[in-house]
Amino acid sequence: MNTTLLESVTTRANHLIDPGLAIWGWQITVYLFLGGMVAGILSLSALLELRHGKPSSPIFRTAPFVALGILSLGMGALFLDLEYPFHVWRFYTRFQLASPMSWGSWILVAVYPAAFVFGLGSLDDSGRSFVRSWVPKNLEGLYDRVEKHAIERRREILTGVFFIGLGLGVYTGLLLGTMAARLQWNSALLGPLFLVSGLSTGAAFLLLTGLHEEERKRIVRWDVNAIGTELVLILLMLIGFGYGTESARFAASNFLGGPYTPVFWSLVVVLGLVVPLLMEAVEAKRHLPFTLVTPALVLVGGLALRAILLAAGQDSAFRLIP
Amino acid sequence: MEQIEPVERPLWNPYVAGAVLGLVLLASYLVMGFGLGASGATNRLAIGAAWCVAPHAVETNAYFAPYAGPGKKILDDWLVFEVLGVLLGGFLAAYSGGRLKLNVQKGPRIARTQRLLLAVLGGVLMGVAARLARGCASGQALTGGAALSVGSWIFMMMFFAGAYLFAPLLRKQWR
Repeated sequence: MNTTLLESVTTRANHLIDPGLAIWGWQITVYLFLGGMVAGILSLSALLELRHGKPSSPIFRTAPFVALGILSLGMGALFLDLEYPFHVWRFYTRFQLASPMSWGSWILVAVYPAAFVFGLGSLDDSGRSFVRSWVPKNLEGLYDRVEKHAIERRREILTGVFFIGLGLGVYTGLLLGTMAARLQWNSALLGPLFLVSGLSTGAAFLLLTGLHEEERKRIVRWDVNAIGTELVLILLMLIGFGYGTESARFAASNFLGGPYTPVFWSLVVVLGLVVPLLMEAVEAKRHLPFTLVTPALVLVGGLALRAILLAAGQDSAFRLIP
Repeated sequence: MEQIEPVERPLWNPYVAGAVLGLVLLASYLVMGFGLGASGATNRLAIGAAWCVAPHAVETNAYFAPYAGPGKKILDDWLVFEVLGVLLGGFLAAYSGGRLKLNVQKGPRIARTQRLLLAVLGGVLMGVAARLARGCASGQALTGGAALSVGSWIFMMMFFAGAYLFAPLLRKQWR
């Protein structure tokens, strides 16, 4: 039986409901990648300050605002993907507990004010004066109260931003993980996998900006842990698929001999995870100078992970299994 | 950022490196079912680039046509991924050996531009010759040689003969 027809009947997809079965392109890849990276930047910046006091590297003064800029780029890509972009506001008329898209919409809304308040507290006095100069006269009172809280309640804000960042990171994976009809995405590990990948790409972004020695070492150490966890999660995901039902074994075969095997193992596992992990380990052991290539490889690997999983997921729809 | 002067570690013993390369070849056969190669990947990249610019010329050329065209995935080949791994491995080795820096390796009397032009010329000659010989030092000599192919052994002997013949002409570039 024709595979497309089979899926059309099984999932009730037809040209009047969903004109296509593989409809997510580069826009969603970019959105998931940038969203994960922002989650990493926010969570790691907040954690660094919570554990070791205010960081001294220049990027941390503006990191929350930079993160918001990057997130806006990602949301711009998402916006380009929407068939009816001006219907977005409907997401915010309710909250659907069982819908990852509803969770995601509300998390994205929470990220903006949280990161803004986080950023206000990170800026120095001249930076805050600059921000204030842009505030309309009638909102200055409100702004002053927000700024006062941003400084005085720093610890609570850092804790909140840390968890909102984690929520954003998990959501990018859960968005795919809850779509059981796509065999490649039918794994509860996708949420944690995208979270650690987001933390790792966020760390890579921070490292690319040139951190002070002590802070760089801390971020590299966290990055090593994130990459190690990511490798374990990928292994567990493949084991879970490999020992699962017939459809799960089909999903595993995509990466174990199937069409996505070369790109997945070379770009994601070797180039994006194993090589950066070895370089970070060798750097610490042999006291080698830091190279920007390591975080650059992590970013390439993070982008490849999302692009490949997105393509493989849409390709691994319900079909007749011999 | 604090700069640490890297400590260069000694290069591997070439005989040990050669033996390990042989094991890599064995592993390549065992894991992938194919041997090693290099010029095949360059060939595919070059044809792919040519197809992007002049698809009609590539599709009507008897040599290029089997590689590129609508529906053909020219980069979906073991050699392309293997060469990517060679680049990464070389990079990792240079970094762990404390030798990672951007430079042009050349003799003291030759200008950088001249050295690069000679390298490009050598690369083009090597690329054309490798296609005529249906393989390069890794595809023919290493992989074919390991499979005891007579043609590959003849290739290897001619390869060394050619190198010994022309090396004196180019030796002064390195002095």
